[in-house]
Amino acid sequence: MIKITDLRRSYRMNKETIVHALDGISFEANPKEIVAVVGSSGSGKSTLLNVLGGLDREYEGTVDVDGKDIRAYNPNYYRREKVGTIFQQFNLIGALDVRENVLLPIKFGGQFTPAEAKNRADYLLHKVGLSERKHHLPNELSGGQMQRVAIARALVASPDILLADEPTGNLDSTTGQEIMQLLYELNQDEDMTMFIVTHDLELVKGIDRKIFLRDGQLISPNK
Amino acid sequence: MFGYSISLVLRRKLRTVLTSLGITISIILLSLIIFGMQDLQRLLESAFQEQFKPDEVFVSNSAQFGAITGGSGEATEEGEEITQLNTEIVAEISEQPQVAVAQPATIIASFEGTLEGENRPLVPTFISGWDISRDDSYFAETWGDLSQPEGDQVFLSTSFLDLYDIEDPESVIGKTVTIRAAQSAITGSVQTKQSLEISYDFTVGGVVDVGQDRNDIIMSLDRSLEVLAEVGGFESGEEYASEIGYDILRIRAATEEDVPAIKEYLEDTYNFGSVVTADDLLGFLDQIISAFTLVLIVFGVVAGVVASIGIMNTMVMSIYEQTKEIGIIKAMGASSRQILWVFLIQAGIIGLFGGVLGLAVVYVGMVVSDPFIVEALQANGFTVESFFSFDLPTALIISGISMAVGIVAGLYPALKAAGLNPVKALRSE
Repeated sequence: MIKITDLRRSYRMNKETIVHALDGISFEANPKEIVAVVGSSGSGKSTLLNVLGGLDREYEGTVDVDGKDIRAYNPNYYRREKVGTIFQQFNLIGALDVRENVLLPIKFGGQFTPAEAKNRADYLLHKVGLSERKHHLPNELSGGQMQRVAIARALVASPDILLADEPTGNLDSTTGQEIMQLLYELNQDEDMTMFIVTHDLELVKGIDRKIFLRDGQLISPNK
Repeated sequence: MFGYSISLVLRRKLRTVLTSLGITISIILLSLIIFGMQDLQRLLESAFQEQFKPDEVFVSNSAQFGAITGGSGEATEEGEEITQLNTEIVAEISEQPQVAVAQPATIIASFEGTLEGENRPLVPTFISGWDISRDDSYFAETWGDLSQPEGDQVFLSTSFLDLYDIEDPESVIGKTVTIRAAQSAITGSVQTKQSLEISYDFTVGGVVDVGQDRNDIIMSLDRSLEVLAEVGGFESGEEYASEIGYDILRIRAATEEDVPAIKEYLEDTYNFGSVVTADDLLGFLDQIISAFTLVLIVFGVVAGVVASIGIMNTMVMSIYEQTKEIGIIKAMGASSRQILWVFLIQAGIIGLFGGVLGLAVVYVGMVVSDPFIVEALQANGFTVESFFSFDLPTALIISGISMAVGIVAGLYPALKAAGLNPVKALRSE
């Protein structure tokens, strides 16, 4: 269960100007629920994602995950084991091969033995259809394959929350649909809450729960 | 984390090698200094030990001998009168129970020797009067039948053979060597106008190799005293020995353990220009080599500092290059401390790689150049089988130092990387 109450995040641009990137947002998300966060550029989507991902802790209000504010968790533990993130730019490490990229979150801690970690990575690579490419470098993969690697990496530590930031933004529409389909399947298999952030309403038409952001505030779908 | 750092270093081979090159060059320089000076020290020590035995003590009032040994702290205190090394004092020293043999010698300065059939003298010519046997350990090698200098028969050193490019030492035996006053005196203790017109002819009775020493003509002690008496205006050699005295006294102790006692006796009882043992000479040699090594090490360290600035520069650049990656791994749960280690390990590996590469180059260089150096040294009278020796413990220490240099150079960039804000890092391109 994720409960966000009166979430505010402001940035001081200069002496006079303060930008309210998030301006009093409140909503809840249930376990296994998929939530689409829709908004145009500058609406506050990325700021919300940074807060939920544990990267930005300088917010006001509360963000409770399993009854506990994010700031009460060890930030490294939270980022490693409670949440997994998929980026629009894939953000794979070019110097590491596919399997090493997938293993990255558990290289820095966690409960897995090296053998378990390897099995988990291979299992996820099988699930995203990349078993044959595990020793390839990212620059040897297509965009869709890179995003699949990023998905496997986000899931490797079995997080409670999956954050997907414009996951199909750099892909053609067919590949984008395949990735969305994969995310829906994984949501059922991996038992986690999923936030899919996008500016493209068409992409998330199959998702029941949508929240709309504009100028840092939640708005009703009709606006 | 270690594996992750290794992966990053291995995948960026070109960058790793190029960054390491700076440290490789400084390690080559440092290793050559350290190994080379160690080997040089060993070589000079063994050359010294061939000529100066541990049971020997040298007493001297000679400016030449004093100039060499003065650095070992044996200089006479100002204002005190120097004890003459005359016949009576030598007799007194000879009677000491620890003294086995006391062998006086003279130095005839300001004369130049020319071999029969040649028209140029050996400049300068070091001439001594010394009743030394041809089987004495002072000589590295001898030729001819003369057992010791006698009358007008002298030992001629191989310096003359080198000067005149004579290959066969036996060919000069029986020839005449003429000494006459040098046109420009090198040391002028008994230089007089009269001496400029004096010349003496001697017969080469034997040829000797005196190793690294300079002692070009060795005549008998009595004959040298006669020459010195004549040049100095004395009635006889005996009078010269009694009034002026000898220049050097070589004492051979009854046993090696007696050397300190003899030295103490000589210093307490007399006031000679210098009293030197083989240990003093070695100590002095060590001092010179240590000072020389220190200067060279300073150069090496400067090279190391330049190399470490190179590493630091590359690591800082690498942080700019890897800013997004740092953001990614922070987003994946890496702590600041872990990121610090990732960069420190990379810097350490680059340093270690540079060091090992440098040592490998030095090792190969040593193996390849050793025969040539040995040949050159043997041509110059050194008895050596090999010059360079690659010392593994020293090599390990050098590797450790190069790794430490890498880590120190990587510290600032690593701290910078660890302190990056993940949100900003993820936004960077």
